Amino acid sequence: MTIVKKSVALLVTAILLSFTAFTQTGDDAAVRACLLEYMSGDGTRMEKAFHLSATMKYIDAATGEFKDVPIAEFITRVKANTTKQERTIEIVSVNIEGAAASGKIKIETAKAILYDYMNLLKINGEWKIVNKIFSRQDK
Amino acid sequence: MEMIKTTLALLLSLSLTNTAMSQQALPEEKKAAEATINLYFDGWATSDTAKVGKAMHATCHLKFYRDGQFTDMDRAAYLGRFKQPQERALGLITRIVLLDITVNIASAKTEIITAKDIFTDYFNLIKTGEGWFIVDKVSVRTPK
Repeated sequence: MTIVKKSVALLVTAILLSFTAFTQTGDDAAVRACLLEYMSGDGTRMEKAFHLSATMKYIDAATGEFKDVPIAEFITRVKANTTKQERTIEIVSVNIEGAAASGKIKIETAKAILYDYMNLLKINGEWKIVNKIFSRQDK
Repeated sequence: MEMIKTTLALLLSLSLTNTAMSQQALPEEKKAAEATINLYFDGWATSDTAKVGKAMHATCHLKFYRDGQFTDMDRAAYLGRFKQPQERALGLITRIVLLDITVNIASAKTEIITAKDIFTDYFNLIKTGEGWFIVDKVSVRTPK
């Protein structure tokens, strides 16, 4: 192979690699942006982060009962809650595969530590949370 | 240079210890959650809806976006897609890529690799009074 051919092959590979990296970064940023809307704590912004079909499932710590709550009900609760408590909230991890993704979020208040696992889908070019589960541990 | 090497080695060992600790934190729970996922794999591979159904919680939905269309399928509809029981196909690969457990909930990334496609699933799992269940899943298909 001539030097010119080698150079062209190298250039094409470099362009392809940078394109792949760009695409991955784009989706990573978009998934995180969606999760940040949820993490805002603002009912209207949170509503936009979720797909209409989303549900929230968890074990009720008081009764041990399995709960399956439509996301609209959860958003109504958030909007009705006007006393915002002090908390720290962070994205622990994000994993993306094509048009599907998973995210883990940690929330810490004075009384408890909560973790969310979210499933996300890229629907019509937009990432949305389609499933949420959480656990809560009192301090 | 020697100092950089030592620092790197220290950082590596710290990160390995950290990973090992988080993995060893709940060995029984990890085993139990893996057993649920393996039951799902086994049922999927042999079209045994009793096994797949046992691994999936009654409220479980499968959601995916493919060819411009969003699909939301409940457990009964998903189980209805399986055909007659069959032998596990030669060369079929089923594997857990990631499993992260936090108290009584977990997230898993899994792959089912057939002759034509790679099916990647993200499972949300919850431990109820009856054990670990896949309570929701999203899926993506990648042609080989």
